Amino acid sequence: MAETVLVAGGSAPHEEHGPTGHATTTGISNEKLAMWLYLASDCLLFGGLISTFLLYKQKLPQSPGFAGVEANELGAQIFDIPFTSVSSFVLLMSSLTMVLALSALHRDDQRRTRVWLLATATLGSLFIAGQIYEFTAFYTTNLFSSAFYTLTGFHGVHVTVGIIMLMTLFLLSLKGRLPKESAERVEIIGLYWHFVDIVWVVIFAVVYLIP
Amino acid sequence: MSATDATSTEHAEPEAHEEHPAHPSDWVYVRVALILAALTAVEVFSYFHSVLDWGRVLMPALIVLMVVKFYLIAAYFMHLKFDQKVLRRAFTAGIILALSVYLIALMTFRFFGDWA
Repeated sequence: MAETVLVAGGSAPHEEHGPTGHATTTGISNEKLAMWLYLASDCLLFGGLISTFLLYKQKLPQSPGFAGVEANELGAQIFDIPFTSVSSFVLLMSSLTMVLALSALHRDDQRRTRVWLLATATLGSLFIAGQIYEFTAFYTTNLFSSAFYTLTGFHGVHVTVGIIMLMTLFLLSLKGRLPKESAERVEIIGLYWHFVDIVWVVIFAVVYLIP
Repeated sequence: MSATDATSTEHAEPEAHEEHPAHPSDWVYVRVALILAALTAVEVFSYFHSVLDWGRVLMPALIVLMVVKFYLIAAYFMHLKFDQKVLRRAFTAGIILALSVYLIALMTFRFFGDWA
């Protein structure tokens, strides 16, 4: 009986050791599973913010400061689509540099890991700079704008937190404290970064492009 | 090995215990990024009506492009295509829950018109 419990609960051949070295029976480290569950729950947060934006967008013609602006022409009349397209492209490419950083660490190529991590943080910072410009350029006060600023602002906060985590990884790597064995740490932060990119893919289409 | 042991061993092999397949090469990542950039360019062209007039297919086309981009990032950059199925299920459950909750909320506010 004791052997049965050991086999069913231990599953030693498939043990997974996370960044903290803790073994799990699912084959996935606790940290990675926790990040995925957090990302799944974050879908609800952004879903709520996007829904609120859509509801206020529908009432746009009645909002002060938007008299005569049709909801269908919102993107063309209010937002600077070419500018936001460049920002979107920058964030999209930061996902590529992030995954290349992880790939370099898997090969134990410390120099390239640092280069790609720094490139990702730089691209993220460029995106944030663009968002700050957009906030100041299109500033108006009404319910629609509040929904827009809350949605893109929350996304911006996510990107900023991501940049802080990337710079922490970069500094750890500089100090030689980011060995190949801690690749999963980079992967987990990468998951967060890619999620931020995925959310922007949705925001870019729903908020800016879809009439 | 007794019959009890054999049964226990079977139950000790959930789906999550799959081999970790190797992640794609850098070239695959670059190709995915190029596809994503091309899809974004197509999206942006929808804004310039003089370049490409989408007409009635504009909204469905933009939604399809958005979903394809979403899938490519999740599958390749987030490795969902290569990682354990339990992660894919957890994330998909979050998306489905969010979609269901907010579609119902939008219908409640008659966002899609009076048909709902």
